[in-house]
Amino acid sequence: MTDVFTVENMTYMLGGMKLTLEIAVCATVISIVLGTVLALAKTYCKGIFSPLSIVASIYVELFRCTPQLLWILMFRFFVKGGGFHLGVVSLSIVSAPYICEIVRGGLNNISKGQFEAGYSQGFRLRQILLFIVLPQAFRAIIPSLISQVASIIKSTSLLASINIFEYLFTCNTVMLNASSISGIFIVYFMEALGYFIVCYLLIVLVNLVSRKLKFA
Amino acid sequence: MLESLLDPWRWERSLQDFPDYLEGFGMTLRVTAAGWLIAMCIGILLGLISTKQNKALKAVSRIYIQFFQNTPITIQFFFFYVGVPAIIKQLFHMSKAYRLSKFVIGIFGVGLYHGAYIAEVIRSGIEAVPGGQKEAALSQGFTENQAMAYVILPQTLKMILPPLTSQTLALLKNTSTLAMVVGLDLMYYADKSVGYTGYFQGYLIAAAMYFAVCFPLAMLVKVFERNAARNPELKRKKKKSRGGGLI
Repeated sequence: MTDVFTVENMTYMLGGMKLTLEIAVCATVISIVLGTVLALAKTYCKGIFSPLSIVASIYVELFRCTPQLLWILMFRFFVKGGGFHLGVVSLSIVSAPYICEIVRGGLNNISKGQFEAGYSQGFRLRQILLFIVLPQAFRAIIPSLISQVASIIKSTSLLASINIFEYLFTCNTVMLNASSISGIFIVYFMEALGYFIVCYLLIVLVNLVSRKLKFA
Repeated sequence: MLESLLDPWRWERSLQDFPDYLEGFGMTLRVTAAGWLIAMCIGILLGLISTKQNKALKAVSRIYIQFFQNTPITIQFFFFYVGVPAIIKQLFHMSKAYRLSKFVIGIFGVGLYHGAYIAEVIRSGIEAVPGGQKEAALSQGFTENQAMAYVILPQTLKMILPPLTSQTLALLKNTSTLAMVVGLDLMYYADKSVGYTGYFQGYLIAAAMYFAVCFPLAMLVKVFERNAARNPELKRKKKKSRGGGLI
């Protein structure tokens, strides 16, 4: 049992956790931006801009109907740079469609009157979207957005398949070298616990936020 | 990039491995079907338990659901792949490492994981039926179980069809994770073929095959959603989405 609790193992696994969180944070930011752009394109691009909306729809449907792992493996061919780069880019691209659907749900709840009111006050379309529509849409979807972030954190474990030394990869290395049953069990539980703590904290945050939103 | 994408020779070479892909596709579908059955059994059991009054049982289902919803599915696969054989080896003092078959790893991996999500779907479906329905049934002399079977569950079914279908879709997509533990499924064969030829066209072929099954399911979700929206009786609860249960 003591064989897994060495300083090297612990620092190695904590290093993996650090990389997991770094990748998750970067990928979350990028995919929220990308997802919002996609959602805006899907919802508001009409008339001569409708090709944009069609492109966005194809992108979203394609990525939502194929496994994430497939694209992560495929982006090895296109993304140059180190493992961190590859991890962030591939994870953002595969997560953006899911974020897009969430943002679209928020946008659909915003009435047309908001636009008319904005126009009547002399706002331009860009200003209306930025100052009136998006703040309201985001306010309503914060809970589902946070649970999607938990999902992104769980998805980082897929990056182990392209040899990025994130938490799952480091834990599995330790698990393969463990010599006893109890060692294997302990590593497995630490592995699960690591993800569990991070994701569960986010879910607690979801509950807090949705309670607050309900009162407001 | 575009040049290499459209290179006919590359496509031809990648398509030569198509029989492998079909074999893997069969495995993916089998794992999906069996894993779905396991997930449904666990989901229905835990979903019903969490609506009962018994505190201990409720706690068990709570812990199960939280554990599986907050840890990635990859952990389960690796546990069945690395952990379970080592445990079996030491328990029975076997000299050679025992390997679980990929099919078993696959169905339990996705089954246990999506069981937790389906349990939540079923619980929220049952809770969405107004309490008055149950009271009315009880006042008419139905027993608790009869009220559940004849009054509440039929109403629940319409409500839970859309999220249940999207769970099935997520389950199908998550079987691809089996490739990380040499799962002999579609993703594995695609990766093997690409590793052999060095052309990414293999992934595109696999993507097309996954898309061919997943897209109809996604359409089905939309149809069911439209149907469920027509049912005014049920409480419209703001559902707390858990990201569709991906990974």
